[in-house]
Amino acid sequence: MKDPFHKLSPLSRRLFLERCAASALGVTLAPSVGSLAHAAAATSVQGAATATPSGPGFGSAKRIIFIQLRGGMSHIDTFDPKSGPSKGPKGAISTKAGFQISEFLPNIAKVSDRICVIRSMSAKVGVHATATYLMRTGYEPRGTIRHPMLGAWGQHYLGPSHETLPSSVSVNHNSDNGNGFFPATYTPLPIIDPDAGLQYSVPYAGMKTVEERLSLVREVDAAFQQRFPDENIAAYNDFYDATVRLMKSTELRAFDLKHESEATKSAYGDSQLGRGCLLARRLVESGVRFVEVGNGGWDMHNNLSDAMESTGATFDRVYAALINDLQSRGMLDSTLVVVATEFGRKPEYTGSGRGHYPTVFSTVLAGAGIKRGFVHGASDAVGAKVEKDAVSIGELHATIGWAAGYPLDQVVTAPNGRPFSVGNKSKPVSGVFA
Amino acid sequence: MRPHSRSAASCLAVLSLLGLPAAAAKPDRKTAAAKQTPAEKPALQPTRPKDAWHVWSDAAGRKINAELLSVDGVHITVRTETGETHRLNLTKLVPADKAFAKAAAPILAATPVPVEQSAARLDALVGAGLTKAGVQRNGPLSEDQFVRRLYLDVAGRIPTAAELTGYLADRTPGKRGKLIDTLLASDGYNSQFFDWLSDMLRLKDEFGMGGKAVKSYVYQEWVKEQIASNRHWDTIVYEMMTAEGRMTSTGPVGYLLRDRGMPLDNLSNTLTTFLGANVACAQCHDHPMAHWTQRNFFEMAAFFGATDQSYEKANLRSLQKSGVLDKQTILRLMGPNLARVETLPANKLVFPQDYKYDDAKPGAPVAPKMITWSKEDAKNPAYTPASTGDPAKLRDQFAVWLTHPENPRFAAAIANRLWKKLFGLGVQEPVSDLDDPKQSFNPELLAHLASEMKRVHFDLREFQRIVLNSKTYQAQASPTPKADASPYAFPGPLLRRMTADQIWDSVLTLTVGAEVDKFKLRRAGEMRKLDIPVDNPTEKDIVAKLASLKEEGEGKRVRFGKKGGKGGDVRSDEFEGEPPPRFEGLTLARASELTQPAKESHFLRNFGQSDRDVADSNSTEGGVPQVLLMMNGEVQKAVTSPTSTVMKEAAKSSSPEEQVRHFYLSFLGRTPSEAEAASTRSMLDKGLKAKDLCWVLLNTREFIFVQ
Repeated sequence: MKDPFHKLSPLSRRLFLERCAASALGVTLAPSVGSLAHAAAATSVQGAATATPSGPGFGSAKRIIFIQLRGGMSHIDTFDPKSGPSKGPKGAISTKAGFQISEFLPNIAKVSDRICVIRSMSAKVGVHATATYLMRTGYEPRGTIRHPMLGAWGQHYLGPSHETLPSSVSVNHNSDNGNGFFPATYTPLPIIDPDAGLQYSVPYAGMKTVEERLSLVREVDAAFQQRFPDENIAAYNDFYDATVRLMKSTELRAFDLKHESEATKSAYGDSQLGRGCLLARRLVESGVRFVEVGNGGWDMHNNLSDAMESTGATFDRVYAALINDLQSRGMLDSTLVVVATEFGRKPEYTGSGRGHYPTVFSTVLAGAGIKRGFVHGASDAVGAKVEKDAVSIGELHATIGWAAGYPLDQVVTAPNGRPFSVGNKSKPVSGVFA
Repeated sequence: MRPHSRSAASCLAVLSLLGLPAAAAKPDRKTAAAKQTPAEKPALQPTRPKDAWHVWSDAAGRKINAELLSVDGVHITVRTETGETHRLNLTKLVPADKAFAKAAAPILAATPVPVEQSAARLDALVGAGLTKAGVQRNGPLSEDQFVRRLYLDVAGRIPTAAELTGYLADRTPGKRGKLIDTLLASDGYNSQFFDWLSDMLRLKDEFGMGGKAVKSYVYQEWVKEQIASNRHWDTIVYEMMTAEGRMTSTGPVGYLLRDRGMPLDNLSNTLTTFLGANVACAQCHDHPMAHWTQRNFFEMAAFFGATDQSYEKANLRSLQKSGVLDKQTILRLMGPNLARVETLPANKLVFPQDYKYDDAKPGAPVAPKMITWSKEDAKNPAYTPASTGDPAKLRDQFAVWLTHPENPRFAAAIANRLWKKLFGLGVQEPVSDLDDPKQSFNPELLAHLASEMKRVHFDLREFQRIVLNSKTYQAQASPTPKADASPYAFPGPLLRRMTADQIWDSVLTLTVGAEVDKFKLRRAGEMRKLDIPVDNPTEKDIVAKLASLKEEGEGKRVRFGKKGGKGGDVRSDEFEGEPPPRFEGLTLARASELTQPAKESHFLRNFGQSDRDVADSNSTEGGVPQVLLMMNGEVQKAVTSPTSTVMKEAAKSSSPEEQVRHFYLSFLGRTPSEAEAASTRSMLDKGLKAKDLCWVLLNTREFIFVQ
């Protein structure tokens, strides 16, 4: 049968979920299994997935920081400056990498030799929510399925990234069910306020009281649990044990920015994006595989100049600080930093800003296995269309998945019977890998 | 007018033929549904007509004297004097028997059956499955177990200590049946049923994304009204399919507008939800295994080909260009008015540009045609008359077919879903795929549930009343079967973790008491105020509407339908009468009376409330964030705070023993065993506080599981 999950009984379906749900918040419930064998057992595999893929950059990214600039970053006023009729309020500056970026980004200019700009992104969706969904999942929204984000795919293919910490975290941003059709436990853990850390992880009654209470819980629960030798109850018992371990563990420090030096904190600056990216670095350093950091304020229909001076300047500072920090810690070679956005903005500068523009826009990759000081693709003279090497959002996802070592040719059959893959069967952009 | 009423007329003729009073005939559905509430339900007749007894003979000359219980296509179900039920194939019986069954079928359908008798029939069919599996039915529930399970399944929350002790003290016979009736008619029932439907219908506060999002408040309140007045399922679904009008004025248009601009996705959901027809694949290509083709799908979609959801007549752009009103104002006010369903003069559906099969050309018009599951369907009355393709009638034809009692899957689909709701597992799984009912472990049971659903004319409360009165429902729960176990034969319901809304509503019961059922969110008025009741609004109409909104002093507060509550929460002034209390940022109203769905960081979502984007995606899986919430979150603070109902009531106890007993009753719905009472008592002596005990009981597995 082509589609084994389709006809399985609900209980087998649950087995599928259980196999997927080897962990929640990274806490392993089932004995850990070889990740690829695990994936193959849990899914229907279509295509030749037997040979481990190899090639430049495959698996080079042990961790990923995915910065999502919400509202639609103007490519012309950031990474793809133009001098002609579409020129914005500021001009271009040269960088040491040889390519030009906008004057709005002086700090990024200084790290240009460590990043790879893709100037030929192209999509069709110019509506915020739909485009955000597309950029976060690689699929357009449908009424019949929820697609997973890249972190959930990672958890599916590679297993949990840490014993106690979650495999994916969403900072400054709700995860919007980033688990997609995978079990709820794959949902990225949301950290809405980076300064507050992991919510509810501190027992306000004190750890000693909590442990005393829990011993009474076991006493009260004993008869009930004896009557029902139930796997779901057993799973909850494990979740309680795991939670206590987490509450007592030193790993919680990963969520706590207090342990950063003043110098580091001030390099990132006192903005939500700065705190978020610093937290992201702490988390990936501690074993979280995928961290998304959200940043709003990019929907610059009006007052683009002022907005770039504030939102743009913050991004300039934080992104450069993040690249430098990862570099100085020796983590950049194994950490992929992605700057993504919903779409670009129109070449026409009307009034004081620009409208939505998905036809061509820019994204930035840096780190693990990615060429440094490189520009991939190009837009035309005014930034209105792709001139060279168009990259779709699916291809961007496939590229990230390739770098992260996901088996891209393994198709997963969702519980609704439909096949899905990272980047929706797109090929990775091999030109960006060193 | 729905052609179903024809069946009522023919039914009358048969009744008079057999000398039965015509009053027993099925009344016209629309009027009956509108009036029928549980309180007004006609008294059930004590016995079935004697006419149902008959000596049945097959071609081989074998005979059986048995009462005819139901007719379901070519099968009949009969019961002998000894109480055994049999399912017989009519084609194997002598012609006289066939004629008897044919004549009796409409009478059976119109004759009320005492609920105990229906429940017993159901138990017999489950029993046959148990025998086949070599399994015994689980033992009966104790009284306290019964009360807790029933409250959770029917009223959506745990009982209060007072409700539980009141029931236990009642010495009158038949009190289980009475409690079932009481809870089916309660406010709590309406709340929990709304939660259940919301997951199935993907009910959200906002339909659409970003700037084009439209509030669904009028639709939501319509759904709540349907539940509260117990309108029958076929009528509800029929209206959702056929309604026309604006989101600002007509509730049921919300169903089609849920997927505005994505009519094919909407149809795909319609077919899986209401019929269990698994056609998602056929939307884009022929189904790889099932017999659905992409052509089948498009022929079904053609019934919606003359349905417009975008209101093409409105010239929004010219209004915006006129410059009198700013773009935002026009969008906010006109957005909800433009979300409307209407019928166009022509069927516009064509085969897709990438259509790759030989039976049609891409871009060719599609003629509407109903899907069938078997050759027998050709003779099925649900399929006649075939569509003439008249654009004005397309949707009505689809809706009549969809909700026809003889539709091969409509009754079975909702019956199987309700069964799953009460037992934790459908007779056939998944409930969204009934394409081959023979895949079910007990097809006779599924067929019987479908015929019961038809017999009660899609009265969902009545259907549940039957199931709730069965021994099968009132049996001890079974642990979750192992993944590799043989099919579940229903020796009892499955042990289930409470759904997210059951946990939330139960925690609220502990915090604010049974009063929590009373808080009612009413937000439709806010949307209705925006309604511009003209066909093609001009700038003048919009200016006039704005003026009237400002005059009412609502202009600012209504904010043209944009939400005003803090952090995206509901506002106190959106409640009818007294607003619910709040605790540390939480609105203490039942899940049905909060934003739909709750925001992602909310307790409800942590415990698996559906995102409402994909049907049937409520989850009861656990996770560490849930445990953190139960141990350290606001909800446990609310329960253990001295102002919570459970703490205040406990403080009134005359002795520590009574206090312990009160907590056990409140949280677990039972009294403590002697050992538990003694051990808890000694802990209290050693300094354990009441709030510690609350925390402990809240964090037991016994609390969040339904046994």
